Amino acid sequence: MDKAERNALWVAVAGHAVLFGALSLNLIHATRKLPPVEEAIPVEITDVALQSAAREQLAAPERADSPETPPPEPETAEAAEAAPPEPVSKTPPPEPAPEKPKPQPKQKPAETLAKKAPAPQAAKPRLDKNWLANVIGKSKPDAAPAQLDGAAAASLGQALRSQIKPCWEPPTGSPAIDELRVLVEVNFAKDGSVRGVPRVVGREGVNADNRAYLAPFETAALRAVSRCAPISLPPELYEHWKNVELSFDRRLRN
Amino acid sequence: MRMLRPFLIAALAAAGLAGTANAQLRVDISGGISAPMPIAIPDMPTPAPAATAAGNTAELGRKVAEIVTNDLRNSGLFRPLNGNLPDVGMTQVAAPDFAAWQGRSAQALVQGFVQVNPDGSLTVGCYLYDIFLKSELARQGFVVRPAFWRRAAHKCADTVYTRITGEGPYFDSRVVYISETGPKRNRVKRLAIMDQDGANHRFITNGQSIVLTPRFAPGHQQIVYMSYAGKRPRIYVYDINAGTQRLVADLPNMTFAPRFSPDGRYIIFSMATSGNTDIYRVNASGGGLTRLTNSPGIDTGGSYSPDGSKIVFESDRGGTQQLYVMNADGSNQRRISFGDGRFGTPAWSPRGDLIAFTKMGGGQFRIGIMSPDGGGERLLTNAWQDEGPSWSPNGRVILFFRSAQGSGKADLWSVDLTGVNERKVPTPLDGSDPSWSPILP
Repeated sequence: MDKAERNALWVAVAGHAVLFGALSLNLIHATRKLPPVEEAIPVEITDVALQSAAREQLAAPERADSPETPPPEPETAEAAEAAPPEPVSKTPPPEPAPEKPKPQPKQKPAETLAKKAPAPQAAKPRLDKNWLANVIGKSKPDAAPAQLDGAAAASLGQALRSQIKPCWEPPTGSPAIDELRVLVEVNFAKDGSVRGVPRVVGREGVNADNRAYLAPFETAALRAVSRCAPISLPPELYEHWKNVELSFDRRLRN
Repeated sequence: MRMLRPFLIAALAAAGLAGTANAQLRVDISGGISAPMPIAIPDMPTPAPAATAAGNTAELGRKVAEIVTNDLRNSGLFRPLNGNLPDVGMTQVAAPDFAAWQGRSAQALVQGFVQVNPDGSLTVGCYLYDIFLKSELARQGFVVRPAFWRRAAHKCADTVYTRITGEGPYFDSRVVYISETGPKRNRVKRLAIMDQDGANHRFITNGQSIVLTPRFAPGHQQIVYMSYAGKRPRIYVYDINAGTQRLVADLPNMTFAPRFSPDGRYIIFSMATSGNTDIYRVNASGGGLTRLTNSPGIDTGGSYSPDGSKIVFESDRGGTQQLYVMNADGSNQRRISFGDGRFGTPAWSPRGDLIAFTKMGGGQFRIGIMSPDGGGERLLTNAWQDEGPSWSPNGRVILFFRSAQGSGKADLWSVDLTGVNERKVPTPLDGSDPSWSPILP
């Protein structure tokens, strides 16, 4: 055994002694210490030193007061959420009322109407507009809105409903959500696209059990409109559907 | 009902009558459909790539997006887009290209960034956008030490989940359970802790003595469990920060099935004395032993309602194992389960609205739920042997363990309240008796 071997032996013996000690200690302690749980500190992102490029972008939307409260951008869905709850009886729509509704519009042949109506979009063959126009019996396109009788209004409503409902995906987590209802006012352009931003103009049935679902519920309602637009309705009846109010709920009815 | 009357009138108006010519068309849209939301979660950029104890921030940005993706997918309520998503630059984080994302048929978008702060901590920025509304729905930053970067990712996922679904958060949470290994006759059972998604797995006890039924304390810093560390099974509390375990009460008989009260002041447990098992309560510090039940037979498995006013437990006093509810002081005991079969291991939801249980019958153990009055019983799983339910912090998901027929090997599973979204929870060895922590701070 030369000197190097002796040294190596001592190193090995010492190493094993240390290892034995460490393992013994581990056995003595039946439990093991874990690193303590620290708080993940929530911060407002605008407070964080972001690089300048991103900072400008970040500064643009106003900070929300809390993570739950979306920023109060007037043009967004959140603006509606931030608005104080309005009673169901909402303010009248901004559209000026026509001076004299024609009492009984003259019937026109359906063919004429069909020619004037734009071709239905290939992607959305949801509605036979000729049929609808016939049922409603509108005469002069683009004229002041004629009075819709009950069946006609119901038909137009049904046509609109069938086009928005496939996009209505409300939160599902609690039976208490069934009590919720929000009213969304939408302005449509004549081509069926949404003009401006739909907004929540009323909410109903909010209680302690479903309050947490209100914001997601409202966002889902606004998203339904945005996702399923543009809609396809008879342009002759545009005056009747250019400004509509959609009432969203989760109850199983229609 | 009175509140709804204006709506009913309006609904009738929309459905049936025309009103005047300038009346606004009003349409009811009821019902709706339920589908996992398509969501895009691209890799998160970093303002300046930098090395940290947890890796480079550029790499962390990719991993954070991956964790958010997995959390949301596992919830069953989201469908994260697959495949390669376009790179997002720092300038786009707060100004996304909505049109491009709409083209990928996503409805929501999660973006963010990872950066190192001067003190070495990490900031994970998290932004949620609605692609169709072209608007920001939520934003939140999280500052963590690099070692806890995964928690920041879970917090981001929780932010998204909460804003879209309206449910409380649950991704930033942990699970304790009993890790099992070795032959059937000589199983080594160790207390183990891990993140809710299986990451950061650690053993707490060394397996020298068998441990069973761990339960988190409300403050998530302590775990109460039964251990055979002494001559007989007794109840111990393990303190996560101190790394120590202490005997709760030195009682002459075997004690088991412990649980904390929601305010952390008490621990309830079962104690067997001369062939009769009843539920007792002690102060969390150990004193003040109080007997809560006093009936012939076995009363066990006590679980507090979240407001601390009631306790659900199982008892065979009526001939078969059934669920009972009593006031927290032991008064007003009444049976709530009446269906076929036997019921055990009740767990009161942190939301208070449901009680989960194991139902035994027909050669099966299955996980089920019912309301605290016993109504609305519903079974969520359908395997050979599922048992030991534990609730997620938000009361939407249940953890349990499933034993395989024959081998008896057990592993951890989760199921949501629909019963549809059932998933295996990864553990390095076999696992049983899971307990879900409260949400972390």
